[in-house]
Amino acid sequence: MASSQGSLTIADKVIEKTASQILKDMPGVGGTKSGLFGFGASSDLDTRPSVDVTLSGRSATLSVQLGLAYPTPITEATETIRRHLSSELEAHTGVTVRQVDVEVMWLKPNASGSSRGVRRLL
Amino acid sequence: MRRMAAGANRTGLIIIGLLCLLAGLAALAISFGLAESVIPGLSSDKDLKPVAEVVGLQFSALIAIVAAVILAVIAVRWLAAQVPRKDSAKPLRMQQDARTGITTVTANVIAAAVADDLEATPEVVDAQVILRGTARAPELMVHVDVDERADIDAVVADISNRVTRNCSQALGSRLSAVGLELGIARTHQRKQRSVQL
Repeated sequence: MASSQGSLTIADKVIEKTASQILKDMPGVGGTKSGLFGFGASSDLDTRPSVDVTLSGRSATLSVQLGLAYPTPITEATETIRRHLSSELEAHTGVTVRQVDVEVMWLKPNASGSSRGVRRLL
Repeated sequence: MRRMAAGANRTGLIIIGLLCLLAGLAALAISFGLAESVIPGLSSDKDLKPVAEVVGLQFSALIAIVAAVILAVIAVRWLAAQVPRKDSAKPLRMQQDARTGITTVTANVIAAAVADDLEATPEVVDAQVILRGTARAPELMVHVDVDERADIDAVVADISNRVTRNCSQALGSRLSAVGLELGIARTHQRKQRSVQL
């Protein structure tokens, strides 16, 4: 945004954090805490999802890694996320969102009973 | 729940059996003198010198080495095929319109969620899940260990109703197949220390 009054530059990291916060505010969407060298890593609905932005001019492509409440319909949920994130990010930053790639990293039941089992993946 | 190489083994055994059968028939034909009409001079009392001469040629050793290497490769591949494999589904792509972005979820993520869900079933001690197939035709393979005093019918009913329904709902498509294997856990691996009312 350049004019005789000055210019406004938004770093990609700002867009990433804004997008991440928009996602965190959505119900049933969570992220993963990386922890220290992988120790203490945890996934829950209170953590901000991870977002990576690729800028091209005034448009952006987002890669999102998130978790969803189970058994949310994944396709519908991610379409809603895509629409909401695009519109909110455009409203907040003025950057046009071209594509939002979503990778679902985990699914957690709403009523968590995960501490009761000795589950292992085959 | 893991897949074995039974089909490949049967095919290999059929091929080896046919080769042995052909070799046996050829040996019989030579010993009874029947091969002489096909290959003149090939009789049971014939001198083996012509055969020995072929083996004694310079390139015979090279041919033997190449044959040995080919056999070794086949043997190693056969051994590798004996390792039981999960055959999990490839990462599922679940977007409605790829132009606005793609949605990816791995089979392990779904399997872990189903296993968590299974543990919400009373009396289920341990759960292992494999998701196979595709996003449109998913197949669920489930192994659960239940308490030895569990009501098996109730566990099966809960899995076939609630657990599979939740999985279908998450995937957005009907499960094309569900495999259920039940085991009895005779040792209690954990003890509940509190109860939430």
